[in-house]
Amino acid sequence: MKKIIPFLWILMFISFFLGVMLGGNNFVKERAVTLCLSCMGLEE
Amino acid sequence: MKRKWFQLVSTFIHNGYVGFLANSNIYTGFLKNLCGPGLNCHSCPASLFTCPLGILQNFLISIRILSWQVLIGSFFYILGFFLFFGLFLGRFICGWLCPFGFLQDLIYKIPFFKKQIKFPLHIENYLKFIFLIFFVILLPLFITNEIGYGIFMVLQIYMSCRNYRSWIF
Repeated sequence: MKKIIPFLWILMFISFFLGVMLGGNNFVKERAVTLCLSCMGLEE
Repeated sequence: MKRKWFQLVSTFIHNGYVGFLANSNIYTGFLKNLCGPGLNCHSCPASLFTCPLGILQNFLISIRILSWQVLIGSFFYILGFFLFFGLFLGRFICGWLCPFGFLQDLIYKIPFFKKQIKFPLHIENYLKFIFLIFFVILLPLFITNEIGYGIFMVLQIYMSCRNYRSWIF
């Protein structure tokens, strides 16, 4: 199990790099700034 | 006792945006690009960070309608945060940082009839994974509406009940 931890660190850095390069942070922000249905007034 | 204070501070940091009291709006600043360590609804106006499991569910419910670039980008970005928290903090998050865990701890303190449910040990060990796979992955992935957009079962129940809600209020 301990042998894969260095690979997970490398995978983490690659994931962040690819995620930011391909605009993954924009997706996260876009979804996270959306209010839930009751606050958007969709229930009326 | 120290742990409770730690959890309380963490909860206030997760929900640290007090500007919503003045402008009645959700926080939309830079920190919403980042996942917070712990479960905390990111659609709450006071929330500063994105919920990692919430955004994973959001990713899964919209997996059919995203372009491949956004799909790959958001997948790796979310994976990066899961690895970051797992490698840096591990289960420290569950006991010390998670606002939802803090809420559960507080609710458990209410003196009320409690029924302990016992499962065989080999099932108990895997129960958390069954919950994770069913509620976080399978439900958002396969329960869809007519346009292919994933929709939570709870949301469906909520939407079917909303007429009764407006009748009550």
